[in-house]
Amino acid sequence: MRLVRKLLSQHLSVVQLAGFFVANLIGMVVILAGVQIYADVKPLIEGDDKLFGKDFIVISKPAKMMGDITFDAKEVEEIGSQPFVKDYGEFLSSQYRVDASLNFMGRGIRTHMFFESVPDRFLDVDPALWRYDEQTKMIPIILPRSYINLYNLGFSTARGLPQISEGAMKAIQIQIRINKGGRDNDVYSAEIVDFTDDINTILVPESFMRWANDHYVPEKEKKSSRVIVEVDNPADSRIPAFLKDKGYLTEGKGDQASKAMFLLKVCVAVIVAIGAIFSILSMFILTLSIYLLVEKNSEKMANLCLIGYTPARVARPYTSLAAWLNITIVAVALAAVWYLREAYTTKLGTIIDGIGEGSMHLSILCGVAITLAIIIFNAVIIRRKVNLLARKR
Amino acid sequence: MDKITLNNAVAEIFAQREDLRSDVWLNHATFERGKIYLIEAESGTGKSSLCSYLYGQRGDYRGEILFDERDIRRFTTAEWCRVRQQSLSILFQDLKLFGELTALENVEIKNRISPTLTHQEIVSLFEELGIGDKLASRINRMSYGQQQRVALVRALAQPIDFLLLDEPISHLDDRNSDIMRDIILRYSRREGFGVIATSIGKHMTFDYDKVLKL
Repeated sequence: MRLVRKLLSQHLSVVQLAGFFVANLIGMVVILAGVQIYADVKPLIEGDDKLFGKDFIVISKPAKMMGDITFDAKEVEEIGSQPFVKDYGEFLSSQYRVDASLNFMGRGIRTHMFFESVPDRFLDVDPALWRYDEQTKMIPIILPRSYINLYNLGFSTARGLPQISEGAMKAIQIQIRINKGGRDNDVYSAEIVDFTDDINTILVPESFMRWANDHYVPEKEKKSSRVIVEVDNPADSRIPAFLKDKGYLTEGKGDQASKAMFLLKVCVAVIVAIGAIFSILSMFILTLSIYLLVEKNSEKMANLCLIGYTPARVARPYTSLAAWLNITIVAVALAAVWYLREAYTTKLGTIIDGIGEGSMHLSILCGVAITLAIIIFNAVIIRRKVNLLARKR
Repeated sequence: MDKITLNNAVAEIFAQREDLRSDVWLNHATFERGKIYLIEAESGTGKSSLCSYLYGQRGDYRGEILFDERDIRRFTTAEWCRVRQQSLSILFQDLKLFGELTALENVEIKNRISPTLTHQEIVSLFEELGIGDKLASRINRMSYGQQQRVALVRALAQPIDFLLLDEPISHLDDRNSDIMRDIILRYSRREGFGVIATSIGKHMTFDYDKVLKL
């Protein structure tokens, strides 16, 4: 193999190969950096809470002076019948008075509060946890993550209290009092089972909500305060049209987050496209270089075939040259992306919580896949060229 | 491979010629393993074409050429590779040596495909041919006569059933020509291969089993 390589490396142009190396390296770094940024930013936009299914919106009515902002059955049904709706459910809110009190760092905190519920199928929470236990009178609740932020960033600093993590928060015992009328209260305990960024309310299991509303205020009509809607495509133009027509408001992941996700996808697509253009151009440079090389060495290659070398063996110095070049490129590119990622996660880590917690798996996978594709492409064109030489009669 | 047969084979350019009188073209010719043949030709009678057909370099002929019972037109690239590695060797008229490599490397590059000669054997063949001091010389710095001798050593560096010699001694004096003949005879007897030599005048002084006129 050494002799064949010695023979066929004649006319090898270092300048051409260096040109290919640099161009493809730039292309590869741009593509992989795009992929890496996507992988790092995506979970931040999606949120690390998997409490809710992918794309949903919450529909409510704007508050009016003395006006009714609940939905009646007809309105709920009308929303559910829209073509963009995959699934829908009603929010129920507590119609009775609720007080919560908790003991924290030796201080007692007491507040009026409220509950809401959504159908369980919209929540991705362990069903064993998400159940009201009549024996222990334990109500599981889900809190908006913004409540912790509100406490940590505002309240605790002003009062000189320590900051508190999600884990510690879950461990706090909360006492719930539900008013039975007059001064009479029923006492329950509550446990925080999860936090969410998606819905700004205190959630309890729907079964508990129905039971409690029937039990404490059987005479009141139960209307939905809001409607949760799962959609196929949050970018569907019929959604804003419908909402505008009805004068409804929205919140939820299907709205802001999906717009951000769409923007992220567009940005990454542009970056990856630019990288791909670089890579494709550089592949042309390599292909041309190898073609020129094969052309210049064609007589020797034909003679090698004539003395009994197989086309595969004649092609091997070039296929392995291309393979090693590409493997080096992807290794250098991944190292560059790693370095870049370290730089931006360090810089942004202080501002954006959770950035850089992901891995480089996706970019490594992309790098390996692209490199394999280029190596196979190169090998195929080299083999075809050598086969032609071998068959020349 | 034990037999090469030509059945009514003729180079396409001669196909229309009516005055063609040849023991090979448009005739039935058989070459057997272990025997030595001379094909005598005049210039322009298709001697090099015949070698190219037999070695699978060209296919512009009519009729059929068989290796044992197989029509060589049906050979795939892989089969030609196998034949050229294991069965059929050639000393090309234009030698087809690699000018960038040394004399020894030119033999080694062939010998490595299906190792046949030991290094010692190669060295002693070079010495026998009077080019023992040229082992490390670049081919393109050697005379054509010296290159012809290197090409012979290379041709012997594989298992052989038939050895094609396309004007093997065109640039050699009688003494060197006899040395070459002795080597070929020795290897032919040892390995049992057949020899098909072509010539347009000067030819090796073998005791030919058959002389054919092209």
